[in-house]
Amino acid sequence: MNLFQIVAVTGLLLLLVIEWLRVVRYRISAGGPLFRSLIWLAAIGFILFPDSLTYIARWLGIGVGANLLLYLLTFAFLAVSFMLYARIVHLRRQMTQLVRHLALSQPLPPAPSQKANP
Amino acid sequence: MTSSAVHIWIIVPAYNEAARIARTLQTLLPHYPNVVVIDDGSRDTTRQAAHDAGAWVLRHEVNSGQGAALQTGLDFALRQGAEYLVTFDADGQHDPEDIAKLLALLNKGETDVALGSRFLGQTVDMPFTRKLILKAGVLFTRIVSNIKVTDTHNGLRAFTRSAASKLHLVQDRMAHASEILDQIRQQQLRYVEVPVTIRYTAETLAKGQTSMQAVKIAGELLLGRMIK
Repeated sequence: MNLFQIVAVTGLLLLLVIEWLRVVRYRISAGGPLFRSLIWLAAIGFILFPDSLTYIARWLGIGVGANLLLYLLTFAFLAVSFMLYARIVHLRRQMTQLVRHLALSQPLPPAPSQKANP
Repeated sequence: MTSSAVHIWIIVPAYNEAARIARTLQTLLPHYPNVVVIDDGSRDTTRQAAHDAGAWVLRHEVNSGQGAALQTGLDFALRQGAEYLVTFDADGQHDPEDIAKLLALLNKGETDVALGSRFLGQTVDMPFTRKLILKAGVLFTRIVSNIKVTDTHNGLRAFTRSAASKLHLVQDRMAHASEILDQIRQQQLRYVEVPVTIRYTAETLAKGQTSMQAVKIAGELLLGRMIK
């Protein structure tokens, strides 16, 4: 193993440990950690066996492993962008609900001299 | 003012309209005493101007967009016991006399919603580029929402109490105009378009939609549908 492989694999293994420690300690749902763990494990596999990426790329007809990685990163970027956008929309809607609730709780009646139909 | 006007509420969303809101309200209040202005986080004196002119005022502390302001106004008017609810732009581009035309149709019980249409009625000083944007909006709505109307972004609309209580706008910003049409179709509300007049001035045009904003609205609407 070269230096990069040692550092990267150690970091990814630490992430794996932290993921599952959180599941055990805080009793949170394992769906998210499981999904992320699969990504960390795949990353470890590709780092330890770089030729495997090229092998899969050829099998898919892409040819070069680096291109496969580029496509995967592009998809991941789009997915993460959409998830973040969805989160922002949710937060904005929640804020709007709060703003509307406050507005409805404090109506300002017309100025008495101006009200046409008291 | 007629006795039935007591059951009519006019909902006026307003953002930075201090210079125009009093004039708009002066044309409305003699005929319709129940007017509620939703000050959507204005940075000017819109709230005070509307209050002084004789309208109810609700204040959004944060600018949340016209869709949110309309929903706040609809909720408030329903709580006040409104039988008919009318949405009306704050900038004075609508003709208050058109309201009676919309309400007459609701009053007959022939429809649940009356939608103003400048393309069935008339426009005064509408620039050609604005016409193109609005026509593109009509085409977009026909494709996306599958509802045939001639004017999708007209702020003058009238609802019966029953119809208004079925609306739940979540598109905060300008995409609400298409969302209203979506919900009219989904809730199977009866609707009719009514010829109305829209008067353009330099002020109303300055606050209107640009081509880029129109594209952004379309994007917001489509993405907003994907996010529950």
